[in-house]
Amino acid sequence: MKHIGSTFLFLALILWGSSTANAKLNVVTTTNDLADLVRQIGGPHVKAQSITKPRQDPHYVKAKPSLMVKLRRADLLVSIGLDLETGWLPSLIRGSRNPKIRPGEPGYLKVGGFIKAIGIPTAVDHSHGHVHAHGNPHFWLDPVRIQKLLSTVTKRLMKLDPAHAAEFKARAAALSEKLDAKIQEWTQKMAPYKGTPLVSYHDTFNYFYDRFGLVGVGTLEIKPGVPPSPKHLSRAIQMVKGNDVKVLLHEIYHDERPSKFVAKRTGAKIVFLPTSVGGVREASDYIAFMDVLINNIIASLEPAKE
Amino acid sequence: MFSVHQLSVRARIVLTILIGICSLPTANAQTRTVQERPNIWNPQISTGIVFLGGYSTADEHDHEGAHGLESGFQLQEIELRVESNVDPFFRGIVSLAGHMHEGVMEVGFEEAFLSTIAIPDLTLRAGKFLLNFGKSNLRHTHARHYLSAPMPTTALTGADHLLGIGVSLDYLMPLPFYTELNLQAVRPGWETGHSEDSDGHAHGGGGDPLDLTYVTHLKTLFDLGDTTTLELGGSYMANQDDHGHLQSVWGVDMTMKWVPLQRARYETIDWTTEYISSHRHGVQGDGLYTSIRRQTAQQWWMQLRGGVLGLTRETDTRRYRGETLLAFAPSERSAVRLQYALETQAHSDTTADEHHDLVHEVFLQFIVSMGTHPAHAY
Ligand SMILES: [Zn+2]
Repeated sequence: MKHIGSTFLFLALILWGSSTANAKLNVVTTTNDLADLVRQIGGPHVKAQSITKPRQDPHYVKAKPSLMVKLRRADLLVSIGLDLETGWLPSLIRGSRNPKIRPGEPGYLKVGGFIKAIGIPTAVDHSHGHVHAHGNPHFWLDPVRIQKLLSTVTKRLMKLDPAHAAEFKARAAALSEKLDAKIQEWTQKMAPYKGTPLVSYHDTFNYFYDRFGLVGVGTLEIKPGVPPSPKHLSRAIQMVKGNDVKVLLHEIYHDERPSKFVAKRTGAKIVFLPTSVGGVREASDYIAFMDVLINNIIASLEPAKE
Repeated sequence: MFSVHQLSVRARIVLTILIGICSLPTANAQTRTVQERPNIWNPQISTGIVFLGGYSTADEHDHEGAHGLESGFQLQEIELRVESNVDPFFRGIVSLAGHMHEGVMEVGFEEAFLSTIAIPDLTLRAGKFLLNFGKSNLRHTHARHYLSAPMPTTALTGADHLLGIGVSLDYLMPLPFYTELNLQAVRPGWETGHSEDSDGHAHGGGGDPLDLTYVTHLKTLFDLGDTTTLELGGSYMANQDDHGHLQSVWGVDMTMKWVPLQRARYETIDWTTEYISSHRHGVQGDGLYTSIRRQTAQQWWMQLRGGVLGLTRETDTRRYRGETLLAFAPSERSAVRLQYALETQAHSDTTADEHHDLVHEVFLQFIVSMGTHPAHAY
């Protein structure tokens, strides 16, 4: 009987080994937006891949074991934080058996801790839905916050790969400069729409509203993660009518029926929006993605403007 | 005894309280929210309640082996779980669980183990833990896909939950697809969780405490595109019984899971089939079950499972069990599940000739969870 145990142990030990020496820094991110930033800063010295696909809802990701395989050789894991990934990331980290990317290690970077969050609830009670208990995590839709995060990401890459520190710094500076110009352009483009009331399915666009002076009147979801009931939808119809909301923003991965239901009864228009780099083909990088977002929103508001 | 009216009032009170409590991620939860605690010295504490009520037509004489659900109200599980990284090297988990058995609440430490977190690719575990045998044993009562473990599994292993005290080593193999090899060695006998064996106690390994029970489990998973995964598993468990004879159980399982990328919150399908063969107390047995679960909306699941015990036996000595379940999970922390089960059971009475009993069960289950909770397997 005992030899069964020792045979297995022996088998396990001989299979253990083969760690690959990677010249490139292996970075895994939770979202495609983060992967894009890492790629732009890291250039040829990093290999960045995202766990979620661009059209996937980042709150609801199945902790597939194949994702653990993706993480097992990662040198750095970059996540959004603010509870966006709490439903699935901890089990992926544990399942990857990769001590480098454990919370607290240099290989773990949660960028949400470095931004000023909005929407932090005054009282955390699970009856309020609990997806956003530490503040709204959708800050990547604010280009200014993203620009500020570049140094955070850069510093971490420099720490893990000091040989290419100067290059990372230079690339980040170039990207920041590009963003400066674009932020100015976007602000000008959005200026005529200041004060426009909008409703979205989920509270995905709150940072975006704040940045460009739009007014988020409410969401179709009752609470983050809780789908609307018929009663809530009838209240949403009142909300849309009462605030003269002309456009409903709908994230591509959410159930379309509630938005369609409200649109039909209020005459509001639905604009379907990607929420990540790569969500539509033209959104090939962060700047292109923001362009898509802004152009689509403007196009939908255009006829409403005198 | 109270009247039906009184019962329903009591039930209403209990249900009101249960619904009022906000809550363990449940078997049907889409995702869980584990509040992240930056302080590693601050343990994650979670607690959950699984309440069950219903009726079974099984009479006393049908009580043969651990299967079926008992009529009336019961607390299937009360769990208090504390989990934390101990230091940069270890993680500790202690869970205190209560289960009701024949009207009596049995409370004990269900799991208590430490596991390594600093070794790449390997996790070494020591303490008391669930044995990694078959497809279903790692699921706690609140995370089970149905109200009870698969009938063939329970019947063939002789336990509702297989638990053991010993060591466990799991290894994520360096392959491009997920392959995990888990080896476990625990004290003589596989402990029988909270449901008793047919003879009422743990069996196997009478004498030498070093005659351990060994479990080995290999699990592989392949991505078939972005939406579908195929999981194949095999496990083997062996020890010596009181008389020094080898007793063993092995099983193979296959699971296909479909999760559409853009609609992962709204619809999923998974299909699991498992075959188990056992050789215990000198008796050969086998069984098979297959289960399909369909999530039809963010909060709704429809499920069907059918099992047969005794594939290699004569047709009329086989036992069949079918279950259908409807689940409503208002959030990831609560669920209400309604299950109807039909079971045929062969009796080999010494006097009369063999006949079948038909057992019907209708049960309603409430699951709630509070605090943090560790993740469930995919
Ligand atoms: Zn959100």
